[in-house]
Amino acid sequence: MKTIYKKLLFLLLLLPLNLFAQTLEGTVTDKTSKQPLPGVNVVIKGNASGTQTDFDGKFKISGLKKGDVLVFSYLGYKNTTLAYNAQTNVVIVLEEEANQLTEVVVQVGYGSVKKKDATGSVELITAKDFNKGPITSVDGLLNGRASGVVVTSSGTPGNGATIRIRGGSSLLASNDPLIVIDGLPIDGGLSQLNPNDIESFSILKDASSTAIYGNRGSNGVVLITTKRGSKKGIQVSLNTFTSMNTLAKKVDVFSADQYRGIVASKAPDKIGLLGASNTDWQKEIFKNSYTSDVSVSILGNIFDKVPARLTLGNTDNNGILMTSEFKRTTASFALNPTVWNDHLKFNVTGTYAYTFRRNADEGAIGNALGMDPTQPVYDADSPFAGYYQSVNASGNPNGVYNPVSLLMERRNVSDSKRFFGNFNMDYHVHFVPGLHGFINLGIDKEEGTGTDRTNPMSISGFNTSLPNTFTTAERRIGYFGETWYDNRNQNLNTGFNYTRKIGKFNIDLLGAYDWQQFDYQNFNSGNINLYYYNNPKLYTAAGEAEFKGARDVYTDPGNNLQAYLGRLNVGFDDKYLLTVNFRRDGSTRVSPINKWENFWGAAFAWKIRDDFFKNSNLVSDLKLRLSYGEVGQQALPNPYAWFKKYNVSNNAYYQFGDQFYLVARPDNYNENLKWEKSTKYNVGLDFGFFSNRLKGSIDAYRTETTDLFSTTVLGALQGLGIFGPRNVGSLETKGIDVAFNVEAIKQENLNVSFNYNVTYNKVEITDLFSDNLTAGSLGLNVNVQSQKIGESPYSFFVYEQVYDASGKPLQGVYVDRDGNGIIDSKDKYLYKKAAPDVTMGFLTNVTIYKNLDFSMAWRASFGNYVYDRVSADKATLSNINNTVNNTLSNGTVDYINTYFTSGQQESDYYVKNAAYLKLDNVTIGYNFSNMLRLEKSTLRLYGGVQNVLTITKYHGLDPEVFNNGIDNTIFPRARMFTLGVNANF
Amino acid sequence: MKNFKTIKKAIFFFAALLVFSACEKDLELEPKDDDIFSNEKFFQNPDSYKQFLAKIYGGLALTGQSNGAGDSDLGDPAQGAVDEGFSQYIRGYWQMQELPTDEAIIAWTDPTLPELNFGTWNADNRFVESFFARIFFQIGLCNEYLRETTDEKLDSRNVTPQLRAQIKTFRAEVRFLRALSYYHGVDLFGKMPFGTDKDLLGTPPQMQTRTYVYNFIITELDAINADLAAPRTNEYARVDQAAGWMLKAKMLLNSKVYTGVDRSAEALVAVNQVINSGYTIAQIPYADLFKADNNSNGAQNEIIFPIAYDGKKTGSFGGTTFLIKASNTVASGALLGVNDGWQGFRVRQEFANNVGTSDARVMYQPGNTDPASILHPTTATSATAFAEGKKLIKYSNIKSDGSPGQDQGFPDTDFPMFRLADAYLMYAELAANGFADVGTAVGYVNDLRTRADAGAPTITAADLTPTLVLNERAKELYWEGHRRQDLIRFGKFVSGYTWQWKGGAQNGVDLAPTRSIYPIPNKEINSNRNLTQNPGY
Repeated sequence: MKTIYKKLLFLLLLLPLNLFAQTLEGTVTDKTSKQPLPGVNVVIKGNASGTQTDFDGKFKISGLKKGDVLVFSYLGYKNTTLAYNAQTNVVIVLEEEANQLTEVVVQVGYGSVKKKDATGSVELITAKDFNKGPITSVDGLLNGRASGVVVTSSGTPGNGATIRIRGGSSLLASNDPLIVIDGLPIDGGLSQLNPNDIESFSILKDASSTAIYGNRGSNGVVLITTKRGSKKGIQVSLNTFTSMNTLAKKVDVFSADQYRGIVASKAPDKIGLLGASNTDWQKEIFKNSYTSDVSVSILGNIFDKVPARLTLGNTDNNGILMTSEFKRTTASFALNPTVWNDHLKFNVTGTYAYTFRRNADEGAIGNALGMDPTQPVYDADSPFAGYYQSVNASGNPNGVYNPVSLLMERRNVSDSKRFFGNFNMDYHVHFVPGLHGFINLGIDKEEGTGTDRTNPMSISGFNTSLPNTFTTAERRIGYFGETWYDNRNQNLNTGFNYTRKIGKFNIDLLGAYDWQQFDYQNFNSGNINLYYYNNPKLYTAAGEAEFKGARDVYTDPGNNLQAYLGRLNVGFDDKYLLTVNFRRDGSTRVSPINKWENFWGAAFAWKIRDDFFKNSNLVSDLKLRLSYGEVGQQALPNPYAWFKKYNVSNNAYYQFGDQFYLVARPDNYNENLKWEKSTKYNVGLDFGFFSNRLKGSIDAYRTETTDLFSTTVLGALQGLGIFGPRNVGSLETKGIDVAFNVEAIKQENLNVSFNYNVTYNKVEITDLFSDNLTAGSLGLNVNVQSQKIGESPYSFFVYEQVYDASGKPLQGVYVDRDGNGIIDSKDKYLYKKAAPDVTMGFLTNVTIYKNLDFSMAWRASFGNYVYDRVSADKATLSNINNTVNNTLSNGTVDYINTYFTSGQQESDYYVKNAAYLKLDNVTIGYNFSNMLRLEKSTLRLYGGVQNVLTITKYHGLDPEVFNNGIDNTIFPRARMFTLGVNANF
Repeated sequence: MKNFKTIKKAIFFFAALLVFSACEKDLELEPKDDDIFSNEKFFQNPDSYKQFLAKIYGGLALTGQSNGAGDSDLGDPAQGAVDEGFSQYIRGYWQMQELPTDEAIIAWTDPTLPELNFGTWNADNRFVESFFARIFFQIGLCNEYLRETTDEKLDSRNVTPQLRAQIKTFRAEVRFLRALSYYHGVDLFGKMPFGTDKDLLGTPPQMQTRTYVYNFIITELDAINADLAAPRTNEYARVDQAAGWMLKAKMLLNSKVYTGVDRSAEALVAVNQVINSGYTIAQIPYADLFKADNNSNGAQNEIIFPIAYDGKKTGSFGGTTFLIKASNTVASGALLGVNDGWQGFRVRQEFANNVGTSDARVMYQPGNTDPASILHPTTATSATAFAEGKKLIKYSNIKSDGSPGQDQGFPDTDFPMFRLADAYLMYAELAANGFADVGTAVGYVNDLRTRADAGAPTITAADLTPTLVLNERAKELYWEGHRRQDLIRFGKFVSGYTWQWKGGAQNGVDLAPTRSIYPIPNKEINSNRNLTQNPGY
């Protein structure tokens, strides 16, 4: 690639450099900023010759005759004329073209288009639509704000969210949309991005739009535009908030006294094991924490020529689980110089982020639910660093490990340094109106390191898996491990764009080439103490060799993606619009047989209003959109899925004669692996009424995804392994997206607006290699979900519980659905599904007396069910009274509903309705308009609550779960109380 | 003119796009990690053919690419794969051949394991499923080996003539190992999915009948015989012609069960080939056959096909590690040179009564006073269950000189897949059924009794009945993975003989006739529409 960069540089040098005009008398300035405007065209009407203003806005033009009309034109400004009347020195004031600036522009990939001319299903989310409140992550701005876009955020500070556009197109491969920041497709999440940098999101939902991203477009595309510099004077924007984070809800487990009662009646032989304390273990591990966030943004025009932005941000977000920390410092910039009379434009953006995190041991959450509440946190006599712990006869810790110790005695920290940026150059070719050439060079580089230590004297530092020859004292090994990773993503994209008007036709043609390379390297030391801790039994030459073998750096072969792409937009009479996209994609992830694949899409839009309601005040916008497209997916998790390769062991041998031979295993491969391909149809209607005070869109869509790929059970002789990659079947997604924006009240002293979106989405497996592909594994051969033809993915697949007359489930009694007298997996049935039928988002913004603002965001999900694994695992007597190691554990209060003596995990009893309505955020702010006594300055103070309220029938911690509907203990999403300031001056 | 020039420049600018065609080679995948070898690179190393062969043999001993455990061949348990150690080949085979019989009962409560004790398994049984997966993992490796060592491929890699000659033998051994796994499949599952190196990877295989696979095995064994090394000329732990004959003899002896056709006369030919092959009954203490140095203490003269273990280099949580540890407590394990006792299996009282206490081959754990009767076949605490039932000794990690093996965690002890004593008793069985010479057979039985210094009197021609042979096999070959097959062949598995907890009842009940073969795992049927279930499941 180096050579290509050099070639490009060389090409740049060939561009003409001699086009600055001579000076003549006069100055041109901007009406609002009063700044001089360079590069303004000054021509004599009816005469080809002319000149331009210089850097100081000055011009000189000669050979004028009285009566000549001078035309001053500048991109984005209204033309101004001057009748020459022998003036010697003039000041011309140009005014910005109002509708030019208010015209909404959406990004469509490799370019942008006016929203009114968009043919595809593209949703634009700008600052006014963003979620308010203590947002520390980019995805938080978006959650609930766009129809068909479901964002599931994590409670763990700094962890990325899951974004699903129309539910995704895949079954078992990735459903993550492609994320492109200022032209650079990125990989690896958004957690390092400062949300204050975001100007807008353009979300491409249908295939005619995403076909331009071909093999990466099947799950939709999120195009993020960061803020740019200003041509005006310096503007400073300061945003800061502090929030207090609290635990919103606890899992309902038995209190100490309730627990004593349970043990007395159900495990009387264990009464002696009970303690005298009353400990709420959840209270012990969850503490109120604070988040502070500061971001300063400076927009200006360096030397009056280079519009620039610099943003500095710092976030310090401590999680509510003790020892959880996340700190992020970001510096980002944008430079947007233009030269040669706007013929050559640059857009250079970059972000550097340093993040530090301390990862709390989230296993402690499950332990807090299971730990005996009658025991104390601390125990002065404990051999384990002073924490209470039950031990067996040999003095080894057993039962549930003390969760407070798990957190406090382990320090697992990591930091990462990431830089990503894009250099964009757009050359408007001289004297060929409408022809642009562009180049994007992007890089995303991230380096991270981590260390993980556990105190050898602590409970979890005690190694129970060493051979029996180790004494209790010798088992205090602890843990010390080091990790690092190094990821790099380089991107090059270049092409041209040609627009021309021929008669009533508007033509816009794009052609481009894309090259992107991803590289990954990582290292994990394992437990160094296991080999080097001061113990002669551990340190052996063989052990060291093995350890060095394990200390191996893994280098991924990386992924290279290349594409040739094109797009043609044809508009007729500014009413009928046609778009055709084409992309030819190649990827290293696919075998040579199927390496290249073509994708295309087409869309048609008809501005109905212009034909039928041209002069209507009632109907201010009406546009019909139809689209079709084919997109693909290459995001196979395994870089070697199709590739024949061998794994030569470094320590496992087999003996032949006197010799030992290292064993070499051929790894599984599938040369026939094809691209996963989605065909998408979309019909949409954009509408606006009452001068667009009520506007919105309705889209109906259907997606068929074929050749779904997955790493799955292969079955005998279908591969070299038991699991492997294969194309498994097809999937169909159907749905309707509706979005409304209502400016309900628009008065001098009261503004009320609503933003509401609702999506109905239905996904069905239409073909699958297997009649019953199990999913939702809970460990050894226990599965509670299945993929079946004709059903929603991840449908729950369980036994039908039989209840007694009083409504209590009868342990182990299930309906013999196939009636053969034997209860086995053939009696399991499909019962409900994890995916919601309907999701909604509702945002209201109210402004009173121009200064007081109020905002409230709701989100809802219906038809989604959750498998309550917390109760399935813990609300049984076998968990409470552990007879294997003779210990006691707590369980959820669901136990009194079942009194199950042993786990009945595959019962439909644990599949619960998890529909919810959430009030995500309430914010109230007040604007002090002239407090700072500076022109145009604003100061806003606000306060709010995040994660205010959840209304649901579900008894677990939170009905909004990951893992396709399996609720295992999660890091709870905090309730946050916030105070913040936005200042602009 | 200036206008035109600029256009030319612009054209040149965009012509630069063509430069990028040169980048297409970036799309070729090449491993960058030093531990990952592409196919071409791997076979550049002349040792590779033997390393791959070692994997196939090692597939009977190991569970993954890491000594002990790790990087399991059967996939990541996080993806729903079976436990690595649980699924080891010998362990799986042993459990399926022994646990449903009077010869063993295991005390653990791992889900679906007790059903093997009781003969009440269903098509979801994870131990059945994991052994099924192991069989076909092995067959898949064999097929791939044969695909990668065709004449064409060897030509293209310019393999030297010397190496080619070796590869010819390797290929015959791989075909033997494939036949061996198909034999295990025929024995346990009857019909099954079937594929060879001629079939393409990635296409779901067809199901073939028990007879079809049976015939394939016989044909293969005949075809490879000439390419296998002459008896006792190959390296230790690699198979030779004697192993081929032994496998053929086993197929023919069980032919009536497998195909309904009695082929005892042909079986006798194969048994005689084994007996005359040069392997001998090792004149060493019987117990030494199963000790840590059984690859060198003389046992190697008798063991026709060992599965070789090494405490430092070849270890797993199955194989002899399992066989020693699971039959012991920590204390009794220590006497056998291992650092742990998993308190798993012992024998049922009917078996103990049949073999008695007077035959020195039936080795009881010292100080064993436990009741023979089992009241709690499986309870939550395996110690309670394990306390009941007669506990025997078979395998040991102590060498014949009394010193321990190299590692207390993983024994050095090799597992005898085939040994000559078995062939002697197969001869005796044929004689008892009227197909072989009774006098010779009596001699063979007495040779084994004498070698073991059995304390039991030698037998005469009148004693040689099928019942005696079955009991003799129990004494000589217990816990070597033969019992279920033997009981079926002698018509005593599903009915005609009961033992405690057979069918799940304390005093034992008959099993349905369909229980003499295992079900095809539901998981397999779900992943391949060509497969159908065995009757009764």
